[in-house]
Amino acid sequence: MGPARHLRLVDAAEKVEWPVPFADGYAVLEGLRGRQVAVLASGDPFWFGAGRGISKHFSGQWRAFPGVSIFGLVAARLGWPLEDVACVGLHAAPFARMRAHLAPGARVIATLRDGDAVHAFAAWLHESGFGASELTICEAMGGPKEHVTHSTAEALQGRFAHPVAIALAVAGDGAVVPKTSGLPDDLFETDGVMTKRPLRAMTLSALAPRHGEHLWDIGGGSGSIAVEWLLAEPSCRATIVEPRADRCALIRANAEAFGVSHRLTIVEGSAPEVLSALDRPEAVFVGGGMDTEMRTKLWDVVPDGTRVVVSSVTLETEALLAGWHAAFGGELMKVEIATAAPMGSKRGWKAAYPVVQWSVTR
Amino acid sequence: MIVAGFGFRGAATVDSLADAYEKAGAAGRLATVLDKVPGVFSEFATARHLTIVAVEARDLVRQETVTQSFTSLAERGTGSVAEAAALAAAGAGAKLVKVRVISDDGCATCALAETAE
Repeated sequence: MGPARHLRLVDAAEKVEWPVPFADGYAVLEGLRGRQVAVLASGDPFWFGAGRGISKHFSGQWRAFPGVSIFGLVAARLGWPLEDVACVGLHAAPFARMRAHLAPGARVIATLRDGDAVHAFAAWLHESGFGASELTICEAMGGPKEHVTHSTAEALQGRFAHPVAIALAVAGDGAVVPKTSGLPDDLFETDGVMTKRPLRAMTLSALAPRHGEHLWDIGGGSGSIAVEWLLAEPSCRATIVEPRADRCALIRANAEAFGVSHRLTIVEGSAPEVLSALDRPEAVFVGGGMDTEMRTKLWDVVPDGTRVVVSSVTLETEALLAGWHAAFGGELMKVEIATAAPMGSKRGWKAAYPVVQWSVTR
Repeated sequence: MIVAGFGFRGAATVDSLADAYEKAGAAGRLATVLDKVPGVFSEFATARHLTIVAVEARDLVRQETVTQSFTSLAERGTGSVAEAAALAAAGAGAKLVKVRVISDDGCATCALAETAE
């Protein structure tokens, strides 16, 4: 059983084509239960391959015989040590999924959906300011029809056919996404409501993302806290609660631009009402609108051990935070940030509102 | 803006929701009653990169649905959770543009409502 192009390569008594969409194939394979079946798939089935789905559906009833992965084949043609290369699967994901790898000097090998995707990918690189990247387009690697083309993204011409992968040596003057939290504010689209860079870095440090964790970002604003949480660790998930539809759209746009929207759930609604409707978190951020009702409800619905971080600029909330700090512990911190700005012919400190941050473990 | 409203049973999977959604058509937002949001519904919305609107149970019963399912009336006080959720999420004056359709496995329903101009 396998895709038609694989079946053509083998001599077998009975051939069953793996259907499209791929997920429909599990039922077909299930129908062959009790017989000896070989499933053909390209490369290494456990590197962006068929192995993930088949092993999940047929637990313990399979053996895998990996071939050389597409990444291995491309690296061997180019002489690139794979340990220094980012390997990404873009055959079923938006190009933005590799946004964080776009930095001059970086090397990336990516799978692509089909031949047409090559030009779309080159155009996306160009729009992102990395049109000068050197591309190697690798068609039908490891087979008799193998064909390799070299070009920059902006000069790319010609037609390409599936199966295709692409290697890029990143070059250009586009905006680079830094590797630590506290990203430049202008990387985000915003309507003005956004946690600014220094405070965002402090907030992420207090939220402390770890493997596989789920964040609630209550009153998401522009989504910058959740986006940085998701960028920090690829196994993390986040849920944003935001009452305004236009802000939900803004959050979505930011998440898509950073390639993290597949791990972000956006709930248009008001906290604390919707909190009981969310999958349990390991960390919670409340950026605004914290009050007694919200705290009580939050303590009712989140499990023990949840890290809660609240920030506030109002005296009213600050008074509540001071009381809760006494009652529940944690750390209460006040931050005053000032930035040098013109003051007549000289310069002075322009102060932002002081922010009080309470971080506590439920 | 079009909102897709969903009703579904406990046995529904992401595939049941996807099937009902594709039969109904496309929408920018997905709605269901608040207590049904966690689990498969959240998973489905996240995978499709679509925003969730969580509708409170008391807002469901206020909607005028075309479909009048007895089970739904008995359990939720509305003729169709899918239709009522879509209407409630689309806001005051919203119109139903697609009466609820049912997934092939019978586990999920989906209806579309459009926000008033």
